[in-house]
Amino acid sequence: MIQEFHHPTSIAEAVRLRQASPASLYFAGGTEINSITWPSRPVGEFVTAILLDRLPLGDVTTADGAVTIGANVTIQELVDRPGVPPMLATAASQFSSRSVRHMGTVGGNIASNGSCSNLAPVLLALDASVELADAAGQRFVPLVDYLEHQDREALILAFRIPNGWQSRRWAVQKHCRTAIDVPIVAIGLTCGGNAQRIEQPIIALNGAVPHATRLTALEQRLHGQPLPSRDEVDDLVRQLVQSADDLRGSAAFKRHLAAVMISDGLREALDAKG
Amino acid sequence: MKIRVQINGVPRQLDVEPGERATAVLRRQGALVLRDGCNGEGICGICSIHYDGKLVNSCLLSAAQLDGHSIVTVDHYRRQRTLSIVQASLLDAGVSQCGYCTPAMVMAIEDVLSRSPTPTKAEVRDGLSGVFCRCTGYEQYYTAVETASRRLADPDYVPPKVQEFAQDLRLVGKQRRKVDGPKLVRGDKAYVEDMVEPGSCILKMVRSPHAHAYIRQIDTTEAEKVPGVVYILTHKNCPDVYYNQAGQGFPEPSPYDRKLISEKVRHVGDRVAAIVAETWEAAEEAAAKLVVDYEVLPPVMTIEQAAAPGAPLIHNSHLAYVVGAPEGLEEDNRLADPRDGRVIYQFPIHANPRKNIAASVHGHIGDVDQGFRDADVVIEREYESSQIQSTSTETHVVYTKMDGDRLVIHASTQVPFHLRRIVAAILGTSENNIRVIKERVGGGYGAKQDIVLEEVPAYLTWITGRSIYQRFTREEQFIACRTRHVMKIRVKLGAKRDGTLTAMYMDLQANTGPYGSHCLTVPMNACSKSLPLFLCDNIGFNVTTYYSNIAPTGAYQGYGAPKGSFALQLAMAELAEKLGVDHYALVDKNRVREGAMLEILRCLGEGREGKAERAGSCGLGPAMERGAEHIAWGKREESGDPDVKIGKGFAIIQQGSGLPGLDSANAEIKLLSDGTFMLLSGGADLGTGLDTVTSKFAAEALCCELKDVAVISADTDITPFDCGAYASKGTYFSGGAALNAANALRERILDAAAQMTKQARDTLEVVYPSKVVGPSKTVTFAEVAHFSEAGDGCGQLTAMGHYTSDKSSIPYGAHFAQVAVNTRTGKVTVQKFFALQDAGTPVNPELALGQIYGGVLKTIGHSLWEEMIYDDTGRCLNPNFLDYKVPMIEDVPETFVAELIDIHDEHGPYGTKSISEVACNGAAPAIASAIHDAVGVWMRSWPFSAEKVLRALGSIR
Repeated sequence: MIQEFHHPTSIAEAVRLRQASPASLYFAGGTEINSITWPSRPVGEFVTAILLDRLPLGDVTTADGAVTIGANVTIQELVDRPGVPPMLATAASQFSSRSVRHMGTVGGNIASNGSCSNLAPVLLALDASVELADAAGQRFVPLVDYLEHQDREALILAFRIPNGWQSRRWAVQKHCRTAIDVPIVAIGLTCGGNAQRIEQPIIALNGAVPHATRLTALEQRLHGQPLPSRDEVDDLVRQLVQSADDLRGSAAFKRHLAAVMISDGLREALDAKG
Repeated sequence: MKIRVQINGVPRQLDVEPGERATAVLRRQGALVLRDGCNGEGICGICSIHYDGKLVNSCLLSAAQLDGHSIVTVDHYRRQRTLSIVQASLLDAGVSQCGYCTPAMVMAIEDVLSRSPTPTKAEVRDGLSGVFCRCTGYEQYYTAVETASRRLADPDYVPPKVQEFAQDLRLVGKQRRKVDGPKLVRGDKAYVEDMVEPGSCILKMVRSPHAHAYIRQIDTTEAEKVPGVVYILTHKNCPDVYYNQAGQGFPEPSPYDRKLISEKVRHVGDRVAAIVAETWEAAEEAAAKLVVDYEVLPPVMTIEQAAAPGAPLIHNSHLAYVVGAPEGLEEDNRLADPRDGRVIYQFPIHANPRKNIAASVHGHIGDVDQGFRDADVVIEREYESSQIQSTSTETHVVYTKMDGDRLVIHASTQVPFHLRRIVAAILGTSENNIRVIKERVGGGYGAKQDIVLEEVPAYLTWITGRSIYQRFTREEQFIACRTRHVMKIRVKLGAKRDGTLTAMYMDLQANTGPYGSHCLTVPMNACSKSLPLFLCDNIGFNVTTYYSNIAPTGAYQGYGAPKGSFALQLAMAELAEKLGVDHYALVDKNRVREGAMLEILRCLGEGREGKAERAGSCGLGPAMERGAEHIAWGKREESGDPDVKIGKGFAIIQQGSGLPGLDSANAEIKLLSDGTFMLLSGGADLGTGLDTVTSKFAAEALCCELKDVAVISADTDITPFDCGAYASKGTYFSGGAALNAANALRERILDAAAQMTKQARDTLEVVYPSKVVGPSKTVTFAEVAHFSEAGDGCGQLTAMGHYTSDKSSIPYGAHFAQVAVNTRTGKVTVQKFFALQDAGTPVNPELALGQIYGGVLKTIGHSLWEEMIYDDTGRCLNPNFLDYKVPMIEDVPETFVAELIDIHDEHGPYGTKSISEVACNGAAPAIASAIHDAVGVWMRSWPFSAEKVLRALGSIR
């Protein structure tokens, strides 16, 4: 059980507290951390929680077409607040339940970096970068790099979605057993161009893989090309996705789902279904 | 740490442990209504509060997160005893059943209405998405929210009533608020956990990590030294009393194959040691210091493994029979291993533990082989079903304490009187030393028929004198409680070209797990509640139940019938395809009709000889016609998406109304001084509305207002004997007893009134409201009461009522499903579901509809998502709500309609039949046949997961 909570009111104070205690962790909405500590399972070695709710990280701002979303913005606020790209709002609305959406934050969701996030592939597809703070100061890193090489010392301050998302085509899909389940597969993809010539696609996947990831080989294969047949895309994705059996399904099932969801998502985005 | 928090508008400064849950903090502040259904996973939502105006799960909040924030609980809406608009609307919609989640639903609805005073269906669905309700199927919440929304604008708004029945009666068949409803929607103290007194001990059960093992040694020395530890019970110091936990009437058809704690563990989660301690922390520390040495045995997990020659034996025990011991028993017992203990049978159930066979039975009518020879078409198919759990929001829970030298058990049970009998036997005392009080039950669904925890704290309170509280975790609810038996059912059907059935045969193998709870009767019920739906001269069945090392099985709403129904109904759909005839037409041609002789019931007694019976009232015809009309049977639907195919399917269903010839119920009713009544019913209301049923019956018979009858039920010190709430018997038996008591009291009132008014007895009549009318004088019940209670009177007027029956009064129904199957992802979406059911005269029509919705949605969950998954060692991998998926409101079919067929049963009290279990029998076969209609594959194994559909379609291998 966490023994002490700190309530910093500035980012610098939060970072100092984190540096001062190796057995500390940042604590946002708490939906992830609290749900794994009941009734007597300690959160690893962590005894100190640094609550983030008094930090100024709750804004959604736009400037020159870019959107900055504070880490403390709740998942429900992603649905409700103006300025959030519709693609991200759609993914947030697919996150059940409302009670958890009221508490969970986008920063906490991404920081948990698990296979269960359906927001992470969407932020990847929006080419988001993440603003971090640690003892060395504040910096932006591409989200794809953050997820791949997560620095758990760093505090997420915000996500920045660069200008250009407005004109890109997109699709969001999530497959789970029931509405309140974690996704077996979640995808987010964006692209320019059209079905005759796809431009700079970004295709991201989660659920079937340990954490959200981009299928860059598929992106490169599709860039500048007409949309291939469904079977062709299906086969390409199946070759790229490595998955594992678990109680939600076999690796073969998850590979299949990833393939058809990406393939159908591309058609949906390019308005080429059927 | 100190925190400042505003609770329901009142600022408070509290000392809290930093990491503890907000739920615990708020409960200490009196918010007992914040309950725990998922151990803090944040799935069930029954701990919901408003946190700075937003609906959240308090279990997902640390105490520290309360600091500086505003909290609202359901107490905020309390205005003395007056219900809020939302609370009243929930009652009017009949949507509060067990009531355990109801206060959380109040919070969710208040949240919805605060954001959207006239919410759309989508907004309601979204707003209630985080609260799990297993009873109701969610559909009537939409009605409740609409009623509340309209009343907020117009407090005098009167919502439209549901269809009412029995026009000649005042109360029966009419919509009335549930008599225990107000305290449930207010969140008053009502459940076992609310009765626990400060200073009580807790019981922690140390459970086996192995599926199959002997306990070679167990050392409690260090554990007993932990301060606060009161007592540790192991197999070495527990009484040598064998019993069965099934909670059935005596003599039980289930074997006595367990002690409180055995030397052999037979499933992961089996009992190893019970630690009674003054704090949870002390119990945990003691558990960690317990030293157990296991001799691990190979686990037996499947029917095939259990039946294999040379399979490890689960009960290589010494066998004994109270009556009917087979020849050669003594020789057979030489094979027993003393560490396996004993098995005692009250009578033969054709078991053979040396082959892992827990029970078996077979029977037939006619000449089955000849029937198949006479057929033009014969099909033979095998159907499988998974292990599922009833997942009541309130896990199994008990509180035991001493009252002087008597033991008191506050129980969440369906069988208070069986519980008293079984505990008395284990304690070696008499029943008059034990009082069982059934509190409100936070979801029973059959699983609380089984006595899965009560007897251990009862014994330990008896010997230590300490009050003890035990509550299962959600994990224990899966691994150490009760689940539906796993079954494999081979169905063989023969028919003429014109569709006439010539022979039917069901060969059923069941997996009962480690103990034989309901091992004969649940699998048998799969046959006895499915075969009589069809008229055929040649019918046979064979049932074999095997022991294994899966988590224990037992009773669960439907009691085997859902699995038998799935197999037989889907086989009929397959037969229709083979014959090239319409499924509906084939069923209609062969289905049971009123007056038909049900010969097969001769072979289907519950551990005794059965009796052929003529089918009584039967609403199957109108149910099928209405359902077909609703779903536009025969009309092909298109989705507009080439990857999504639409299909339709249906099934006919039946259950029973208690166990004729086996069950009995009693009630007592007293006339009070002011002319009102106190009804003492032995019946156990699980939230189904039984207390309302018995009250209505009494008030109807006594020509008084419903409010003039107060009911106390299921308290073994106060109320007379009742078998308990199982086998769909509540309305029929417990209701019948209340009616008989009321009728008897009416006669006594007439006697007294005749004496009082000096009018001829046969000229008097009991007339509404609460009076006796004669040719020359009318007296009120109050006047009769004063007369009888006076010094020269005849004494307080009371009467007993007893009810037994040899009639089945079978409830029937037809369920229709429309599904959309995505051929790319395998996802099956139930778009429409129509449940048409014949419950005789529904006593509480709105509650009856809720029972149907709830039963159907449970079975949709079982059909599509729910299954317990094990690894090779026998460990369940998904004993929680994150991984075992139960349906929430967002999973409900977009069109979900329950309808009651207006049928009067000639035998049931006021024409009633049962309602609760039959609703579980239709969804699986209706959905499976709809999937076939959509994409041409037969899903013979549930759940019909997306992966299984894709494999059936050949999309993945």
